[in-house]
Amino acid sequence: MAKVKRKAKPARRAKSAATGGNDNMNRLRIRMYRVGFGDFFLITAWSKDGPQHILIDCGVTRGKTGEGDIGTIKTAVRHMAQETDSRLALIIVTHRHQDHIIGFSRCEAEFEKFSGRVGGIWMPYWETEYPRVRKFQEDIQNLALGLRAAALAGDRDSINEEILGIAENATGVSAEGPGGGTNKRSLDMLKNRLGVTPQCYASGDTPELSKGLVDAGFSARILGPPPANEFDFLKLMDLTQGVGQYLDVENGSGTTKPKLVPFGSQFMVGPDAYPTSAFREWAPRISGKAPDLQRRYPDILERAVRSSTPNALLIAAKKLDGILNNQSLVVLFTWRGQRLLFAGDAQAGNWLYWLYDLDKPTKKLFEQQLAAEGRAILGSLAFYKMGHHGSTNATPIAAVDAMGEDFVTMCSTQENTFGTVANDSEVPRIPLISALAKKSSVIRSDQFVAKIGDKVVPTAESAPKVPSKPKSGKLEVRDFYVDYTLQAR
Amino acid sequence: MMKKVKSRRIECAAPTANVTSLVIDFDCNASWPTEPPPRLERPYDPPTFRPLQVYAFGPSLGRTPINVRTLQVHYEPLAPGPVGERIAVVDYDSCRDCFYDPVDLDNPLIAMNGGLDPSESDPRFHQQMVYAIVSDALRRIEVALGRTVRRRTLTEAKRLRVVIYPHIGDIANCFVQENRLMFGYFRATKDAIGRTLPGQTVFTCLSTDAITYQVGHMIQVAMRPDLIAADRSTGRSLDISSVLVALCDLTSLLLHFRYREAVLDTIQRTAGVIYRSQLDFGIDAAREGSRISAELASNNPLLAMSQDFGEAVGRAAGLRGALVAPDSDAVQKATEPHGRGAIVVAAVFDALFSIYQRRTLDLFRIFRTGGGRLQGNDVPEPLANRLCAEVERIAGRVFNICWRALDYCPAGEIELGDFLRACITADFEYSRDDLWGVRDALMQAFHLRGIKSSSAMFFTEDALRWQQIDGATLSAKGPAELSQEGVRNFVMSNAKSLGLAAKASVDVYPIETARLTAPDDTPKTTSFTQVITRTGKGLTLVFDAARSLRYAIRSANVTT
Repeated sequence: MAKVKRKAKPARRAKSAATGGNDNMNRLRIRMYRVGFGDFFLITAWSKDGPQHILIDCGVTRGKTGEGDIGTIKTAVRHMAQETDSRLALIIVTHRHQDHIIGFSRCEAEFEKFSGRVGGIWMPYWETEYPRVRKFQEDIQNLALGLRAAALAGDRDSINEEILGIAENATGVSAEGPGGGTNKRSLDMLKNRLGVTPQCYASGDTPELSKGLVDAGFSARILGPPPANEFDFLKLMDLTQGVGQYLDVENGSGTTKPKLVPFGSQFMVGPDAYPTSAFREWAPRISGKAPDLQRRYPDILERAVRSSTPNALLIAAKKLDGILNNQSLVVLFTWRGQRLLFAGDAQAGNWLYWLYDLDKPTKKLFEQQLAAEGRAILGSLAFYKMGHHGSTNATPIAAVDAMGEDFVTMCSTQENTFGTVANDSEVPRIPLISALAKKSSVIRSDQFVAKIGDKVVPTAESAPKVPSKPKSGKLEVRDFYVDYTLQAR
Repeated sequence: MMKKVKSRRIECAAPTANVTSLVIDFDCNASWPTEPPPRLERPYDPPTFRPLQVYAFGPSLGRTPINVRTLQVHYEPLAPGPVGERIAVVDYDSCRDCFYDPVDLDNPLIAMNGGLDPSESDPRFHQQMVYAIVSDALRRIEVALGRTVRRRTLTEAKRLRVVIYPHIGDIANCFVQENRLMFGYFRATKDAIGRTLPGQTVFTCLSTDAITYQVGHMIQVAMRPDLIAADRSTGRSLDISSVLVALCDLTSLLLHFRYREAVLDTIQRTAGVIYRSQLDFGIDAAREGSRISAELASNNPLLAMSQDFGEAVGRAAGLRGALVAPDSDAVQKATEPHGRGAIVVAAVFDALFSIYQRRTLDLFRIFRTGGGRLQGNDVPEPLANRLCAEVERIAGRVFNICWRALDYCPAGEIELGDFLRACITADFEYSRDDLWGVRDALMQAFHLRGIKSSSAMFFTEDALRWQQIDGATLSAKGPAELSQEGVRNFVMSNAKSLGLAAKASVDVYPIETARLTAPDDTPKTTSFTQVITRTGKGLTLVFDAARSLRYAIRSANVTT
């Protein structure tokens, strides 16, 4: 029978959990830390050698509104280090976004203690050091820096805020707010300073599991990302891509300078240098009155041009965001007969690659049938780590349809960080959560109050006050994390 | 007292036979006029064209005679900007929040020079160039369509006025918003190659291809709102986007052939095989390798699109090219608009060069029969001129076909195969004879790339042409009046024959009438409109000069 409890004193509890025992061999614990808009999961299973810990991502981002980072990640990392005795059987880094990796540099001192005590690191294929891949990632990074510079140079309106949020998530550069760290330093920590060489995987690769994890009952498959020769899938971030943009995102500026000055000031003039007919289309049209074409309307013109410019930047930013998300390592664990799917932030192209039997991506998904294997995987899930924090572009409708029932979905998110209800882009997306809630117990990280000392982070308004109870297993709510414990079948 | 007039008699020759002499009393005291008579108020006729200097391809090819050309653009009086009735340039930079000094092309000093000399550092040249390229592209497309382009909505159609913003800010892109063309500028990446330096500012408004691409897209938006609405609102049809992108690419690439010097140069450096992707520099370089920069092989500028942008981001080639190797599975593999559009572009260029090869074969034979031998790539000037004229004519014909095809595309939905059918029908309606074999060449080139029409029974010209309406099945041959209301009434009374539901609610776009002159000098007047049902899809109706319905065109996968 499922239980939902709130308990205090996490550190003491953590100590006792680490001791293990025969009963522990038949249980698996999935812990979701509440850090805000970002993923930070710790899976623990027990072998005869003791607890085996798998860390999946460790990051948070402020997002468009600046409300994504609730300032708990340092405490959470410290807690995780205590819990694991600074020893991890495996670290999985799904992709190089701030909301998945910034913790590794922000809590650098804490992670230094793990050096030489990590059994393995899995990263997506796109973190290999092959020159072509490396150059591609550098280009992406440069583009993100360019977008950030352009957004900083503009007005602080909602579009520029969104561009800044996306660009900062891609780069890890954050000049203000709580925290610190950069994506680059996090990657350096993961690749060079933990004493183990990361293994980089793409769909279809066979991952190396340590003996401890095998003894604890794990096997694993890599479902995503698409390999490097399937770039079309990597680019497909949603299914409503339009035309009209001349340059593609990978042709972006790559600028790192904040402001580009194309001409000398001797060419700068005021609107009076132009005839009134240049402003004709901006003359206000009032019903029943002829427009006044003898005047200039520079304010209206300037506003219109300014508002058109960030739109294009936003498109580029979203494409960049989609490409990085599609690099997500998607891992399917099987633990003693139970399937656990960790989808990272995989967007459309990543899902399409492993879910359908396609040689190429398509937007006409409604014409396609899920591959038998994809259907079998989704139909038998015991646990699903919701893709991209509940964003609408990361869990295809067809996937939700194919999922079985009575499983648990965990979604690490923070409302009001990206998107709006008004334009159907809120994250987490309410209709998607509702659809999943019909089939599974959906647990949102922002559904619980987080308490650290005197600091209290309230619950999300859009989330149910009481989490839905899992049909099997146990849910325990702690001060700044939630544990879901599965029993072996 | 009266002053005595001193006079002298002058006899003049008689102007006619009846009058022997003419006597004029001339006042010797009167002073001679020192000023010429007042000028007659007789205005000069305005010129037809205004010469303006431009980069033929973009600044990356340098100020060579091939790249710096003078375009003869349609004349209209211009205020500083330039701002005219049809086209206006307003140079506002949103990143710096300033306007840039507008060029005054009616200033005599500038006009006498054929406009300002090319300069990347002077925004006024940018304004001049973008104005000239837009004006030229717009005129050529309007000539192809046989009418002035209008912005159509369901309620009205207004003559298109183009407003250009050449420097909207630091953004590596250019795009269309309604009747506005927006161009950004950006810093070249550190991998920039060719004549583009890493970090230098790249102006999208100086890329001829980028400008013509956007003009093409803007005209699509203006003349076929049904397709744009379907593309934007539903994302259903990948092929709408693909066809629109292909037509924009074709506009840019086919207009390369308007630069005679560039075509001649390509002919001279490819021995007339102008579809080679690389241009060579003589036998010595081929034999001994290049020793100086002039001997380096370069990309064929006729076939590369936006070489500047390609170099700015570190590519050895342009952003896109005209030719890719034929692959019958290409369409199945390509899944995004630019990729699928590129297949259409390659098919059209395949047809163009096939026709060129066929039509110039006799010239080479004559040349050889006369004892001529090609030395390396050298082509004698008279032969080069003939080849050049030939390819210009073919490119012009293909350009016209592609744009006219847009009038013959179905409403609200297109497959790639529909575009082929539209091309075949448009050309058939223009010229029954196909003496150049254009239609056959297009069919074969599309077939080779796996583009077929799912609605045509056979792969023959007859079958690929849209089927003409059988007038006997209609209540009348056409609408009583060629207006939106007249067409709506006509459609409603013939709904069943036209394949629509009996009481279908339809919207009719304003009627467009094209007036062309066929190669046999007969006038061709054709009217077009789109009828849209609530599904967003529908029919394109084509009427002849007598208002009789000739075609009711629908896509293969449309059920209304």
